[in-house]
Parts: sequence; structure tokens; C-alpha cells
Amino acid sequence: MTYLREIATVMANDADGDARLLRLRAPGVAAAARPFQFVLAKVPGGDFILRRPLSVFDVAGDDIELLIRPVGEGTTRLCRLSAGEGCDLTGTFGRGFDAPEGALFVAGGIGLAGLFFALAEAVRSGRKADLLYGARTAAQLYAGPKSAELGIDATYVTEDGSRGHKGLVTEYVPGILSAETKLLYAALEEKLPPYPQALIACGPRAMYAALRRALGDEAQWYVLMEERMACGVGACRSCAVPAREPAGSYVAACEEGPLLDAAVVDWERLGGEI
Amino acid sequence: MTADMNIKAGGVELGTPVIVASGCAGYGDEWLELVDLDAVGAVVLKGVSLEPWPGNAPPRIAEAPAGVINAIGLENVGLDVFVCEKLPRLERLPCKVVANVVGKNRYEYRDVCAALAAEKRVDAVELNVSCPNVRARGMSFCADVKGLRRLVGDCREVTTKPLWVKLAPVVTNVVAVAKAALDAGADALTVANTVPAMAVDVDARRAVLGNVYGGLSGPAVRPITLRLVHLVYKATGADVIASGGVDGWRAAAAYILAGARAVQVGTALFDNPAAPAEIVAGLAAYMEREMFDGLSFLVGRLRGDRK
Repeated sequence: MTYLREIATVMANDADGDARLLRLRAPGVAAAARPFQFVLAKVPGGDFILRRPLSVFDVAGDDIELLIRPVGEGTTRLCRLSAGEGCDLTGTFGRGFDAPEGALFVAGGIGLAGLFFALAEAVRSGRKADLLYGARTAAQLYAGPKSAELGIDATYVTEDGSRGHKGLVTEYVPGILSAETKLLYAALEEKLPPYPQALIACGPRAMYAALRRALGDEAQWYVLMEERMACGVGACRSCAVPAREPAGSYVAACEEGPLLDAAVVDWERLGGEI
Repeated sequence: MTADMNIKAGGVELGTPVIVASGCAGYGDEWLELVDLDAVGAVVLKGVSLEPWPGNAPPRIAEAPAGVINAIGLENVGLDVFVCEKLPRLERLPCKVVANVVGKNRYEYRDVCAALAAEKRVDAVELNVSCPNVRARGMSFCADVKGLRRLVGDCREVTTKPLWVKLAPVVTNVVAVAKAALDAGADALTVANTVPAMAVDVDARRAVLGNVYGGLSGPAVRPITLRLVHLVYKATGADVIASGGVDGWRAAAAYILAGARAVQVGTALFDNPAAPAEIVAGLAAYMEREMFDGLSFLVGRLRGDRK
């Protein structure tokens, strides 16, 4: 594992729904980044000690992209960075993978940020990959034009029906359909593989809970765990995710993950919302 | 000419007075590519206990004004894995290595110290008797002076390695605690651990940390710890290693002037992995400016100090 620190230069900061897509010149990070990896970005202004973990959204030449939704003061400040400003990054952290052929990516809202690089790389290298993408409302479905441009086969679902199908993404995961959603699924049957060869999810905890209920304990699927984090290298053990084996243990999301085999996670201990 | 950064603290010859604090450095090798280890005098490894400890339920970390609150709960691999797998990986580490020891009772501390006594890569042992997230029968070891004396005495008997004792910042009489540790054979005192603290998410109406309580670190604790370092140094004259919110050379210099022989850097690494190198460079420039030939001349050299 090689980690580096790089003062990236902001090349562009564009609106994408209620989030921002930052393009940063960061040759070192760009060369090192693999799908599912993340960087730790220092919050401008100096009031925050902890850097913010951000998935590498995509890489193009010497540039990386970060998709950031302003949810707290830290991400809000990062979203305000303008072209020409510096951004202090460390990374890249976490284990990187290429998605296998026939992967179904399931994203919820800003969760797309954790999956997009893997998805884009799969499509760019000619591997079959589909995206099932849900959000509360259309403004939280990100990277639409870019997905279309890349030829990503995407199915959109919104809770308010403002774009794509109305409902929850989890209702549309093939092979796990409840009787009530089977009719809705019929419309999508042509588009999605009957069973994904790998289901890779990133989104809110409630989405994971629903996926888990729908898929059952036997299904093979992967989940991107986003945790409060400090070091990024597995040293401080802040980003603990309850693990099934051995009982009562934890894995560090930054080191073992952030993409984890769902079978590794002890869902019962994960927290109140599951 | 570059100022001499060598200093002996707690029986250990340090190349620089900057020590990476326990808990922030993992087992010493995780940070290798990000931290300039030439600027680091020693690394205090993550606390090790007799058996593996799983640590606390998440969330384990929260932000605070000028600080961070953690409740990791001393998750660690346990003594066997530590000795067989972690220590051998530190061969290429160019600085001194301090093992940090934790336990549920004094016998566990003693047994871990005994096991580490023969480990060549371990240059010193720091006893963590002050973690706010782990309690012996609901109390910190530092709250019981007699118990602490026995604990340190037990450890002293089984090892000839330099022994550092890491004290709690919130005790009735820090000097009494320090003296008990020194009487029992401690070579140095690490002053201090994190300050017991809490954070509440008002929107969720719940404590941020899974453990509810945690330990505050970072610049927020520095003025408090600075006074403790000064109190202990003035009362005992012992080797004090300061630990509390060091994030730059001025903080390090303040601690050294207050009586510390070395400083530990922890939380600052998360923000700035270059902190050790910047501290060493800043201290060197300061010493040249103030015309101090060696770091030890700076220790406790406050003007107009309390008698």
C-alpha cells in the first residue's frame, strides 16, 4: 500500500443537482486511485482536525473527480472550493477492485459517489455492468449526463416519482422481488440481468437493511461502508464496522473496505437503523 | 548549523523530541509513507493487552471544538499477535519503539510487561493507566494511588526496560499520582491522556459516540495538559513526556519550557501527517534564534516561573 499527500488544484466545480462535482488536478492520486478507493480531504479554513473521507468519483488523466453533497459544515466548505484553489488530499485509501463482468450496481442518492468509478471503468473496458439508482427526488440523482455519455445502462427510481420509476431501488433488485413489485419489475426485465453476478451497493443504511431483507443471508453481495474516520490507514480503529467473525469483533472500513462482502458485516450489531 | 535535536527522555535516547502518541500510530508501520520518520524520535505503539480486545461499539470518533473525542476502547490484537506479527514488521523503523501496555488488572499489566522484557525491538514500555474508555471496576487506575503504586511496582519487577507511566489528566492530585508512579520505579511520566468528554447529536437526540463517553484530544486540551506537565515537573523534577494537543513547534516548545523533555503528537497527524517534520524544523530554528545549543537546556526554562 502506498499513501501520499498531494495539494491538488481545483480545476472546476460544477453543480450536479444539490451536490457539487469537483475536478481536481492531482497526478499522484489520479495515478494511484483504483475503483472503490477514497481520499481524505482537508476542510478549508482550518477549524476541523478530521479530514473528510471522499470516494474517488472518477479519474481522467492527471485529474480526479469528487462528488460531494454539502451535508455538514465540512462538506459545505469543500463544496465552495473554486477553480484555482488548493485542496490538501491524502490517499488513496481502502482496497481497490475492478468490478466483475455482469455486476449490478445499486446506488442510493450520493452513494453513487462510491460506485461510479468502478462502474465507469467496467463500461469503459467493455464489461457488462448495470446501474439501479434510486433517490428521494430527481435532484439527488447525480451524474445523469455523464452516465448517458458513457453508455451506462441505468434504471432510475425516485421515491416521489420525479424521475424514472416511483418507489425504492430495493423493490427493483432482480431475483428478490416481492409479489407486489413483480409487475413493476416486468417492465425492466429486458434491461437487467436475471441475477446479477455481483451486486454492489452504496447508499444509506436503510437501503442496506432493505437489501439485506430482500436478498436474505445466503446472497453474495457487497456493500460500501461509509464511517466516521480519522487516519484512513487502519491505525486508529475509528471506522469500526461490526464483523460477524469472530463474534463481537470489528473490521476497519478504511483498511478492509470500504467495500466489504456483506457476509463479513454483523448487521444485527451495526446500529439502530438496521 | 542545525540545532542538536537529540535528547534522552525516560531512559531512551531520542533523535528528536517528537514522539508519535499511542493509538494514532497503529502498530508503527501503517503511516510509513505519510509521516517523515526521520523527524520522529520514537513511536508509541497501539496499546497491547494480554488477550485481544474488540474495542467499543461505533461510532468511535466525534469532532469537538479544536479537538476530537474518541472512544476506540483499545481495540488491539493481543500480546501473541503483537509479538509474533507486529513487532517483526518494525525492523526497518528508523526510530525508537515504545510498547504501550493496557490491562484489566495489575496482573495483566505485569504479564504483558514480562513478555515484552526480552523483545529487542521494544526500547521502552509505556503503561496506559489512564484510558478514559476502559475502566477497572468502573475506576481509572489513576484514581487509586495505592493501587497504581502496586501496578507500577509489579511491572518494574519484571522488566529492565525503561518504564513510562501515562497519567490521567483529571485526578484530584496529579502530583500524588506522579510521585506514586515514580516511587514504584517509573523512569518517566507521560502527561497526560485524553480528557473524559462527551458529544451529543441534538438532531438525533443521542450521544454521538457508541460508548456515550470518550476522551478529548487535540488543541482543546493543551492549556490543561500544559499546567499538569508544569505541576509534575516542578514537584518531582522527573522526566516528563508531554501529550496533549501538540500540533506545531510552538506547542512543543511551550511544553518543553514547562518541563517536558519530549512531546507526543497524536491527533495532529490526522490533520497534518507532516506535523513531526514541521515541529522539528520549527524547534531547530527557535533554538538557533534563542541560542540554545541543546534541547535539554530548554527544559523547564521558563522566565519568572512560580517558586
